[in-house]
Amino acid sequence: MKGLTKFLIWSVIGLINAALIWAVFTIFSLGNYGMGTIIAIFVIAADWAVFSPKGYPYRYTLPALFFVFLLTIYPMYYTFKTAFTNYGTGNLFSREEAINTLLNDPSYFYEPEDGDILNFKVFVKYDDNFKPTEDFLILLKNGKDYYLTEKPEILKYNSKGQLTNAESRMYKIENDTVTINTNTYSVMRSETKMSESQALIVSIEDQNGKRYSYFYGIGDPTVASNSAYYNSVLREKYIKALEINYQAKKFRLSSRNIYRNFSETYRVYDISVKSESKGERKIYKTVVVNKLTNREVVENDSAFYDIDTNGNLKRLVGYIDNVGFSQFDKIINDPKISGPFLKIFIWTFLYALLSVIFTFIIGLVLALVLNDKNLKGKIIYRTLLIIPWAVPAFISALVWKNGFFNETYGIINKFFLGTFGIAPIKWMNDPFWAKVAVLILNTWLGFPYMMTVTLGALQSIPDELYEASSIDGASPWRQFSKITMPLLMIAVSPLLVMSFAFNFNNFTNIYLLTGGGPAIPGANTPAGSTDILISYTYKLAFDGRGQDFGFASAISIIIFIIVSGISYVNFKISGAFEEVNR
Amino acid sequence: MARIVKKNYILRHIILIIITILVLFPLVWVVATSIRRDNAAFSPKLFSSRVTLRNYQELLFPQQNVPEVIKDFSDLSSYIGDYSDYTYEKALKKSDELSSDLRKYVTDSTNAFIDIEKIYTDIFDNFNKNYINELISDVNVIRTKDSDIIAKDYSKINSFFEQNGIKTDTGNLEKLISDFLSKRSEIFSELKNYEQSFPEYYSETRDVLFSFPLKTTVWKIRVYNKWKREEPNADVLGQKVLEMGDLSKEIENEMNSLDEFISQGISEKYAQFLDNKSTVENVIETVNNKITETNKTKEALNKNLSDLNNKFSAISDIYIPQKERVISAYNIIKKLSNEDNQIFKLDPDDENIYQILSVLSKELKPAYDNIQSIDIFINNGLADTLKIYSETFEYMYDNFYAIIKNKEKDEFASSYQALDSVILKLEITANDINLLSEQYVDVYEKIAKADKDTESLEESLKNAQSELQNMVSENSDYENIQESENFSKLVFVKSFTENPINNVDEAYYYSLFMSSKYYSGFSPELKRYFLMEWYYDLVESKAKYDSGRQKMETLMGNLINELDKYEANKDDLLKLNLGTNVAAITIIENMEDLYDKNYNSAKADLARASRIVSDMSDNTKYGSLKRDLRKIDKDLYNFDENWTKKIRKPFVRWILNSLIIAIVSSVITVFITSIAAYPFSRMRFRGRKQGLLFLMLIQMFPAIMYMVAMYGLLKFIGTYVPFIGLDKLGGIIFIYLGGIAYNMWLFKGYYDTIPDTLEEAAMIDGATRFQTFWMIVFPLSLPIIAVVIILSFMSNFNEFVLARIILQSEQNFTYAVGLQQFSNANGPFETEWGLFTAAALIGAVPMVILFLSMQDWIVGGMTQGSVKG
Repeated sequence: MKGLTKFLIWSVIGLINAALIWAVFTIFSLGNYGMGTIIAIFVIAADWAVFSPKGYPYRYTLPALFFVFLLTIYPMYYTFKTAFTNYGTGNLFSREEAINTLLNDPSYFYEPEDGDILNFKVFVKYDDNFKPTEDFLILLKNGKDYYLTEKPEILKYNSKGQLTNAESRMYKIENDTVTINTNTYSVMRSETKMSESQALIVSIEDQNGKRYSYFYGIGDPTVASNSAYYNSVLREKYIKALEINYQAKKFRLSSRNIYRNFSETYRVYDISVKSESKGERKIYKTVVVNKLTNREVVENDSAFYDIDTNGNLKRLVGYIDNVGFSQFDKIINDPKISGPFLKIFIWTFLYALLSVIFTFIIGLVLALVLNDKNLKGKIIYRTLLIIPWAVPAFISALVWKNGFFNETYGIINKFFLGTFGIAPIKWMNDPFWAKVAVLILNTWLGFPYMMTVTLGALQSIPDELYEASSIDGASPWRQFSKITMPLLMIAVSPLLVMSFAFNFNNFTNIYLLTGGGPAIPGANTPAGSTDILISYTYKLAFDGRGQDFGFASAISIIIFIIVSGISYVNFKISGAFEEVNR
Repeated sequence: MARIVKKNYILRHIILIIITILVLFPLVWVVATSIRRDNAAFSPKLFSSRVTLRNYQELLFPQQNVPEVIKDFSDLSSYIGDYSDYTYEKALKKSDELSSDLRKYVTDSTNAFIDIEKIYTDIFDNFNKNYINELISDVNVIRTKDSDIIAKDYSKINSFFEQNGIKTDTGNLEKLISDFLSKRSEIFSELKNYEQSFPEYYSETRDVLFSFPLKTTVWKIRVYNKWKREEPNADVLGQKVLEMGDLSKEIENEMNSLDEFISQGISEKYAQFLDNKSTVENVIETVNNKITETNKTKEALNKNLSDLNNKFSAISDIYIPQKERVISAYNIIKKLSNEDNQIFKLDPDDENIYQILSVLSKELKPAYDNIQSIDIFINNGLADTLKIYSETFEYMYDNFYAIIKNKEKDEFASSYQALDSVILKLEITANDINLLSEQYVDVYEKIAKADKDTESLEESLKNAQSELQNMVSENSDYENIQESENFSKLVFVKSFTENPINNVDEAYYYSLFMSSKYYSGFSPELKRYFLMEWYYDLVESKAKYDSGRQKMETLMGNLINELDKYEANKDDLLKLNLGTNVAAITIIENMEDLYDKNYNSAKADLARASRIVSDMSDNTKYGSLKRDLRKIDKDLYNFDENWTKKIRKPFVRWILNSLIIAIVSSVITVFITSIAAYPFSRMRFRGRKQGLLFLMLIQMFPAIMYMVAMYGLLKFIGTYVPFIGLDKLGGIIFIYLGGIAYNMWLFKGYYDTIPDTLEEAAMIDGATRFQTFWMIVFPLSLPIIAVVIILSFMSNFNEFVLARIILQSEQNFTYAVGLQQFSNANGPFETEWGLFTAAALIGAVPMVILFLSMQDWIVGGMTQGSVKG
């Protein structure tokens, strides 16, 4: 039994190792050196822990460490790295991918004015249930000549899994037959003649008897019901990016004719090699060339530019590039960014501080009131008052936002203010009131926590102290300020600081309630009046147009430094980690 | 001990109760709103007593209602959507199911209508038998109250008149009025006989009869002439009505002469005061008009200014960036000042520059003079720029030839080139800039003047207004003077309210008249006459209901017809589209059409009926009536829910997703962290001291920024391990496993409290270290395991940011993401408060219960380590 378990354990270890090493190599081959390195470090450390006797304690931590590496250290590294790049909208790809776009994206094709145009019809093989399959042929016609092409074999996809390129050749049909790659197809025409010279082509058979029936033709009403399948399957998966080669010409679905036929299309940009002399050596550089103008594409500022007819630079596509400390510089030097940034920064501190103060005061008062042995129903009150904390925060935020702070329908505006004769408050659109709303919500959500921990701490203060002091003639206020508060603070201050750090990063409440609040006018980033640093970061990185991951990463690093700094100081002072020295 | 005084506790209890109510109010509101029948967002009431559990049913056990059944028919017969893979047999079976569902809905609705009809009939019967007398006496109570108030006003004014020696004699008028009213009653009871036979003529005549003064001319043409032809007996009645018309005119004349008499008296006594007052009022009016005019002018001027501002900013964008360049170039070129400036033939390019310079040197200085004191331009630097430019270009113009002679010299070449390019850029604006600046200054000054004007106007307005105020307050009789203008109307209303009410029609018209502000000194509050309009409202609701019901019955009848047609041919119809969808089934299209075209108008009628009924049921005080009305309301509500198109969300699926994710991730987390925390507590190794702290600090990194990395990571993993990818539950669970540091700290703290003697004993007996952990320590840590599971579960259940980014298809949303997506502005939950609060509660209640039952453990876990001793 023991041998079996040992065998199992070793085989599991072996499997995991194999999987991880394979993963490292795959990742390296994809070019993601960062992740690969991190996993490799982990594998090495883990193996050392497993095989070395000194590494015994570490073995316990391995599963946890795996997740820490993957889910904490890797993202941290990634964020650090991104903070020094310009990753964002307009610079979303690597340089290779950017070049790839220039070469393959349909917006960079051109159709010569006098190019050939081919009309086409699609022939499909039906399966046994008379449903169309993806096995198809395309019949193309140019004047009197017919051509046939098979389903494209060469298919290329981009990183999102979308089709970028498909290639096939077309062959001319002579005497109703054509041979493609050792397979001979024969064209079947209908019995009746539609016009004098030709009958309608109804199907195409290959030499093995496989029959492809006429399935779809643009603008043909008799097959209009097949257009759904054509568009969503055949065209989406093959034809939309199909390049048909014939002799020296290339054909694609013509954008000029709304994709109703194939026309000669060529890429505008292509790669070529240029030689440069650097001193004595000659180096060869790959450059992108505009084939129409025969000019080299200018590379500048992490983007490719082309020169248009007026001699002006036109930005084509950007790529991710290192920009050094410029993201951090932006924060300090760019007035349109540093202004709002400072405001957000100050508000973040204020918000966390005020939240802690308010919740603590209310919690303290309630705890003092409830901390009496003789108060009946104490437990009921405590249970009822804890409920705001128990309700999931996002539900509370949504309820408060829709039901209470809504400017037109919200209850506060409709009912409460009306009875006091006060004008409706613009909770969501006035910067000041939005801040008030956010603070109200946070206080409501947070005071039960403070109340509970304060209660616990109060209960740990021995009663004898109070008795002794009242014998000595101390008033209740003195008792409070000299006995209760100091002892309380020792117990509770680490929690206060933790609460501060938590609220500093309290994304959910702000985002759900005001979405960052009314926008700060004159900022060119989506900064709002109730934004805290982290919601600002989120909006920069993920919301809508103009995502700027680089900048967002820079701010995240700043947040991290602040919060971990505060927590570190907190932990050191409160000695919460002191017992580790056992 | 001696300090405890019992009565303090009551104070404490009161305070605590108030605080608790305030704190829990939002939640109470959530519960109350989730069971409301009406749309709470638009309702003027904070709470409602019409309750239904339908919202919960819709979320948890959604059933298809009629429009969805019809759509299913359409999808099924075309074999699209969910039905695209159905075989013929399955399709037949499903079609039968759908048919029976549809028929059931129709039958249910028909039955509901029959029920409602019966209730209405009962109510009307009851009304005529039981309620009517009670109603009339209640109505008269209200009337008497009104009459008392009016009588008080009357006597007050009368004494005022007496004080001032104005002798009014209203006896005649009052007699006329009460004659009028009693005659009216008689005629009306005669008229009532024609209610059933000539309903249109009846209602029009009734309207005319109860108006004051009677508008008989139109009535005569439209109604009377036609009616007396159809029914000769009506002629007599019609004559009487015409007589009433004359009588009312007579009364009006009396009233007018009374008013004249009074106003004469008043103006004799108070002539001076009235004069002054009207003078001041005129002043106020003129000043107000002037202010409006000035504001309009200011608006236009401001618009002008902003246009000019735009033009200036375009110019600034050209001028200001070049400033430094110009300064430095100028400094260099200035060194030419000693050269002679002899004229010689210039190249065409230079000649061009010379021309431009001539313009610039003339235009820039005055432009600068114009704008140099305007703040905006000082702040943005344009003023300064213009100054520098004007100096530079003047100099260049004066010394142009000297400059050109030297322009190739090394020292000056680059500066000259720089200036050259700048000058070319400025060419376009050269002619305009002075003009613009003049216009700007002009408008600017005009605005300043207008501001001053406004100030002084408002000053004088304030003065006039306070003067008026003083006048009014000094004259204590002012109120009475104002009211005396309406005295005749007061007399009328006094007699009117003294006249008893005998039937519901009179009551209704009483309320109409009194709310019409005929006499401006008495304005009743909105709900005062609710009781009087009651009957009429009920009749209206029945009429709407009837109309809606008829429409629905036609609709339902037609639907059933089509359904029958469909069923007769369904065997064949279902084969038509088998394979590919070629033909739309016309019968089903008809059904969809019927619904789309006809349902909404029926719904509108029934909704109006239901609204009236529900308002009434809230306000009426008759118990059994309330019950009946409530029942009608409930039936109509259910009907509406069965027939109206709804937005469905996979709510149950969301909750299931959340549960799965939270449970699986918390269980896995427990295992990982409990094992990982063990060495920190029991063993010595490098990094032990700082390791835990380090881990906790690392995890302070804002999770939001993980997102980009996480997105890429999951995408990568997803291609190789299918169930851990983007938009998969496995992916989210994987991500949630990262939150280990805090849990490790909790475990470690707990392990520290377990004495290691047990493990030592076990090791002596031959157990390995891991076995001591697994068999001794782990089972003993059950309390902290429970805490960690609960805390993890709760935090993962509530987590929404990461989930929102990773999960993309609606089916895979967690509960948190779904709730948030659909309560956004423009989301369907934004104003569907019933559904939203019900959904919120369904998620919140279990969590709250879980939390409360575990609260001791949770609190213990969270405060552990911080409360010492």
